[in-house]
Amino acid sequence: MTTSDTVLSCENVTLAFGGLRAVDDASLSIQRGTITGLIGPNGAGKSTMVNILSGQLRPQSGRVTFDTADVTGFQAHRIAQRGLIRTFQLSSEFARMTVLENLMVAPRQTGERFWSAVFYRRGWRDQEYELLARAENLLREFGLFSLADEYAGNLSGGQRRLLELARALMAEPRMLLLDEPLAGVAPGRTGQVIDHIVQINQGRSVTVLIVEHSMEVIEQLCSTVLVMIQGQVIAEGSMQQLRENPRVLEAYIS
Amino acid sequence: MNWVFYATTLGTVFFINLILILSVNLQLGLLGLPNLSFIICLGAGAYVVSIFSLGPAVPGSLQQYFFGAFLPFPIPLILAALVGVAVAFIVGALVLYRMRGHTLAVITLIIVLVVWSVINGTPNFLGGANGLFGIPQPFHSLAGTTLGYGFVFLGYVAVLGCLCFVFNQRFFKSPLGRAARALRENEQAAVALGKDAYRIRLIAVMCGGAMAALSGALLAQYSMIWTPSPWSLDEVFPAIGAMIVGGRGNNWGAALGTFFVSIVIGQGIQWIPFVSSDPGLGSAVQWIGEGVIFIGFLWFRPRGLLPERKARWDHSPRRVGAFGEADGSRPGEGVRPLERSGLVSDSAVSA
Amino acid sequence: MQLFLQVTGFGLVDASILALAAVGFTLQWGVGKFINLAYVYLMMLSAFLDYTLTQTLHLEFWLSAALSIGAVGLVSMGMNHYLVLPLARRGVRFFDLLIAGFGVGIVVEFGLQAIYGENFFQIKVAGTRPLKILGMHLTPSQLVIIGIAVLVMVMLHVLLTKTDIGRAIRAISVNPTLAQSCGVRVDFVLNLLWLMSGVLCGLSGLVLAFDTSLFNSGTSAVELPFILAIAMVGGIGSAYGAMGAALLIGLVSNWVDIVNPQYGIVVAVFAGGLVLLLRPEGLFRSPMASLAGSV
Repeated sequence: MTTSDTVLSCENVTLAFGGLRAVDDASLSIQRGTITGLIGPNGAGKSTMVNILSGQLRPQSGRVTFDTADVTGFQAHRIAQRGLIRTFQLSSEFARMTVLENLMVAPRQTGERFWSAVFYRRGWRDQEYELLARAENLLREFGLFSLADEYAGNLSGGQRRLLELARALMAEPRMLLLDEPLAGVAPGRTGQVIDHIVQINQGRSVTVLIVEHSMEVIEQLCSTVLVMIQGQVIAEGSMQQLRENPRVLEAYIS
Repeated sequence: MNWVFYATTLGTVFFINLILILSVNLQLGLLGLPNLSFIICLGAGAYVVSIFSLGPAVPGSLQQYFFGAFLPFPIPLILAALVGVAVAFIVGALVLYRMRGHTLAVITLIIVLVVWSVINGTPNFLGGANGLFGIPQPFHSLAGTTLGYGFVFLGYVAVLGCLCFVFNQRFFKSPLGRAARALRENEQAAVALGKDAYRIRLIAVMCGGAMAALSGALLAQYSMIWTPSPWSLDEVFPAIGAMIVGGRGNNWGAALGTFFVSIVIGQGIQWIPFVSSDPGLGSAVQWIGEGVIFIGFLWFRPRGLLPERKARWDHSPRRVGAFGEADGSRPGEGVRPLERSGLVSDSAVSA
Repeated sequence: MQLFLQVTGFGLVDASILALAAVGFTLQWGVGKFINLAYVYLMMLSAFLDYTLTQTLHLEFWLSAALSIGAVGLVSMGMNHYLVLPLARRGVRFFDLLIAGFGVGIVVEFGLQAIYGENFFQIKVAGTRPLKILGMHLTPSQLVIIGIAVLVMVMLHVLLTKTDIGRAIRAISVNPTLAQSCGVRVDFVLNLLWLMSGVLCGLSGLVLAFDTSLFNSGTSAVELPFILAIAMVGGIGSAYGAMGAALLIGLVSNWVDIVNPQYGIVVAVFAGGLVLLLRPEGLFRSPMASLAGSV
């Protein structure tokens, strides 16, 4: 169901590896400002779908639309530059860079152009201080300020997850695609990560699509949930609705 | 033995090699790209500076090459750097799009072997196996004596070497350098943040190509001869070794590594008595020494003598305390220890 | 036509030498997971050892050959066990392992040069008067080389298909963890693999010395691009692929040399690079082979 307030959608997307259709004529749409969940049993194609939406993989057919623009087949970095930032299931911090540097590298900046970087440094000096201030505030918000000069690789699992969230925010995304954001977080700490996700969505109006296998988390966070089975999106609704959906029940039990 | 003159030769060799190692540091150290084709750029730079200052080939002379011109001073050098960029671009466009890690290393290794074999084996293209000789040196009018010219040439390469050093430092410390490091650490994550991997790699490789070519050109001008020997695949080894010893990702480390390999090892060998009498043995012992030392460093101290340092911002406004009040500390001082230890806790998530 | 046949004959000889070398190399790359840049220099080590054993110590020809080849096998095995594996365990990255391997090669090459000087040496195995076979003029020496290669390939085939060790090697090349849980002693078998491939390395170096009228420490270095290309065309880790690719590249590069002596190597390497880009599993395997992992 695509409305004028759809921020991300895909239509009839298919991707097969060898003989296996990982994503099979799947369609979905995400409404602006929501936290949407994507669930499904193992092998349902969720990871492939996330990779297609964010541009890591190119679908063999179908269309992907982000913010009314057709981004099918766009490379991952171009989609990210348009405001769709994804995180990874395995912690992907930049290990040999400091926490602060991890954040500083995230946004697009003038200093990344060759000429500015080396020859016309005045062009990005001011921006550097702005970004520094923004990064430090983010670190305070996420409780990581004291670790600012620590190598990111030395952080604990929970801290790395928070770092990844903070880093994604530095890029000023319009939408976040979180792939199992609680993987590797100790049970007592998950509440913190969840709180931050809520804050990102409500405080900063960032749309969130979250892939998770924990039903409690999904229920807590998501107003809408999409269910994928065998490469197709078979249902969409609130957790309550899905619990009464025979197809969903069948798929999870069988 | 004229010590002063000896010192100028050491200095000259140092700066020429420094430029090459900076090139390697940019590609291998900053970006983690095992692009071995920098040695081709070295050769290319040398050949270009030669054929554009030797003039057209004289039929019947011992050296034959294509084209040739008599261009005045900085032009052959500039052309050399440009050709270095071009060669790097061609190789980069071919390989950087898809290849990573050891595939990149093997493919560029093969490209080096092929190009080397072709040039070595084709007599009339770039002098073949015999190479080119009589390459003119710049600035001869500035000094009459050998010693005097030694200083002039040293000054010449020192200026260029320092310029390249500053260039590298600026690159490394800029947001572009930061993005490059991120690509090295985790390409997928960097791309997911919007970094264009291909563009950044291509830029680094092209800049590296320019510097490698410059180094080759200066070496050709210094020794006045150029054969396929100084840019054979074997020569990749000491260049990378200098980075392993000095520390990669750190330009001061690169300088230290260059000093160690070209001066300490290169010259140190000469002082072993039984070696200096037999030149063939000397060169063999130098290679063996390098092999053993580099493997030794990989074994005992793989990060090198001066590892990459943490990024720091010296003049940032962050010397304000965690709760927004000025802590009265001097600019450049770190955040107060109390905040770091978490006792004044701004973090409920601790390690 | 006469020239063509003759060059084909040389191609067969080259193919024989290259097959022996490439099978060892590709096994080290594919199963041992190490691109051994010291390989071509270790080849020369066996030639020099053989020379010293026969000329200086006056040992019998086949005995000293066996000893030299065995020595290179042991050195290869030792290099993997005492240098490469420990470095890898310490987290040294793959490229640095390549450099370490290169370093060993440098030490061997220049060690030989330091000991033996830059002089040229000669090892004769059989007569040098050419015989005429199938329109090609080949010396008994060259026929011996081809014979050795064929014999060794057959032995290898038997080893890989009929013996436990061979099956273990093939299992490890597909999936080492699975092989281990099936009871294969992976470490032991890998050591044996390095010994075997080291023996092939030494044998190919010796055979190369038989073929070249004069050799020195740098003679085998020119084979590196060919060996790399053969490994890539045949499929990395595939012994049979290497045999096929060696024949192909040995013949084709000699034919191309008729046109221009430099271009044989260019064509070989081009082919290798192209195959690596377009069909990484090699020409002789099915596309799913990386899953099946056949050796």
